[in-house]
Amino acid sequence: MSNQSESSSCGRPSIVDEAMRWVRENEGTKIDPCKGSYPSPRISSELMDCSMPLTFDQYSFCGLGCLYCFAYFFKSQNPSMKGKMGVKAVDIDALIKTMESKIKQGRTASAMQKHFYNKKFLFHWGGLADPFCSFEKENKEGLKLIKWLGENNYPTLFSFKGGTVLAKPYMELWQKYSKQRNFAFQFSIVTADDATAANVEVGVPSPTSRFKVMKTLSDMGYWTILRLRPFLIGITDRTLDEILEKSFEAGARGISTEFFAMDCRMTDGMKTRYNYLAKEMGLKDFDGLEDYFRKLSPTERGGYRRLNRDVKERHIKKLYQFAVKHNMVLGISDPDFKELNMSGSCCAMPDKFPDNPLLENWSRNQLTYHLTQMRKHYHKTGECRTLTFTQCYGINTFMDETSLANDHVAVIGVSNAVRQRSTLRDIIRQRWNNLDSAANPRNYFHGKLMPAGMDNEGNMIFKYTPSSYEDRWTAEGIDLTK
Amino acid sequence: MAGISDFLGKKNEDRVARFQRLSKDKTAEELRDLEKSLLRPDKIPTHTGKEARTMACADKVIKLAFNNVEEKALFAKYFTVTNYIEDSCYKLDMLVDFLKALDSGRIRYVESKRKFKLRPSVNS
Repeated sequence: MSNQSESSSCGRPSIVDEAMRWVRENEGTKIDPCKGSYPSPRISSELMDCSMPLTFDQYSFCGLGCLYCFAYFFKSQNPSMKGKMGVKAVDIDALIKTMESKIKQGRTASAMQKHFYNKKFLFHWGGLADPFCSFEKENKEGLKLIKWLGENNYPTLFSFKGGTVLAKPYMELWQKYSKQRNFAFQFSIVTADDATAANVEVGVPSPTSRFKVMKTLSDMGYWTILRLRPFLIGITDRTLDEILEKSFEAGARGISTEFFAMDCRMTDGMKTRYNYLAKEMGLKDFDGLEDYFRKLSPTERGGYRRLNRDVKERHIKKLYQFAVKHNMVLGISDPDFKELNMSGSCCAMPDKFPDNPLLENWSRNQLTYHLTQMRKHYHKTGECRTLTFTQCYGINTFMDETSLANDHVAVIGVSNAVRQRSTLRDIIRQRWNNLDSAANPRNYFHGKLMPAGMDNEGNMIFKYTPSSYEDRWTAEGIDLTK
Repeated sequence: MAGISDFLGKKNEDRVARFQRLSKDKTAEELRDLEKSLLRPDKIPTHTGKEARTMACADKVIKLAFNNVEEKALFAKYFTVTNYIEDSCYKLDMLVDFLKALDSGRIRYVESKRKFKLRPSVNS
């Protein structure tokens, strides 16, 4: 544990003060173009079960100070970030020209254009940083792209909690394109309690003000989603009823959730953050949190510890029942209960959106969609369906472009030839077939899909396996065909 | 094919129901302790069936070993060999075109003489 004192002189935990210092230092930061540009969009590393693999951030990191931030964890572990913490921005003008096909394309840009931009594939903005944090307030790099996306009716989902979304030039754009409805908004909220949020999501507008923004954008007609992520057991469940009711009242039509997970690799900075979170969650300290996650996480999922489904069941049940009652789309990004998704997108994007069908333009070639279909099929017919690799991922997609796999973590440490000839399909196929891999469907979903033979192409076939909760919930009258 | 719930279903049901019964009016600290004592995950049963080949890109990769470094250098003269991690080569268009010509009969290899013969009359 860090030797840092537990509280500052004003009684606030010192880690909160530290996070606040980070937030204040970032306010007013001007982008220095000499530092180079940040490469984005990119393909999400979660593409095996992700409906929106085209993910984008306009800055290299985030100006907010959330203690649970997984991006802080990844970036603080990344050797390339050491000593280079100056924020970088994407070259938005070049990106727009690429999207418009106005400049000579490199291999990666050509592939992005062919498979995504030309097809108006849903653009997910806010993967590793907040689109509307203090960097955007000062630099407005994102604003240029929002204008272009609006002008071109390009479908876009923003995942955020920053306050710049309400600034005048942004509000004018939301108003201008409200009839078109090509934008959708996901609001990250993990507690309804403003005081708790002030210490956990440092420098972020209060949940109360986020609900107000949600109402404003919902009233304009936009598809809005409660992003209940990360669901922090011991914190989020304290005000879960209030979060759900306030989101519904604010016009949210979707709920997306994923439970907090804990990587077994750890920096001192993360330990200090987690020490504080542990106490809020009802655990003694960092060691208590580590013990809790070690004992309750299936080992088959590897070192990124995710609690098992029995720990999450009572919370998911509440979400599912609330969504059914209020006709909302429930999206579950967590590997447990992923089968309960109500659309094929775990970000809770709709299957059908007649106001602007472009918002339906997300990928069905992924496990979330198929697992959801298998669950519905089981509860309608009693039959447990099987799934092959090709059924799941299709053929001739972006996964077959070698240029899109060059920077994937799976090709680090392999020869240049293998790296240059690897495709995302090769990478996920390896995971699909390797029963020792934490990303293998059997392990990742902890037995929800079990091996059921091999197909003609030499790939594993997986079969839907009903869980005990499905019998119990059905016996209680819960409809699992939604 | 047996699934995990065939092995674990009944046991799971019991412990979740038991947790629900015992968790009423508990503090957050007591709930965390109760979760740790009652809701430990089970192991997935060992897979005993056939397993697929798992090396990524394996079906597109061959390792070549030449007789000597001179032969390897000759190869490198015509094909770009990079040495990140290990010596490797992926720009193989000329080699593939040559193999196609060989396969179509436009080129023939006389193994006893270690020589090629062109057969221009053969169409690809």
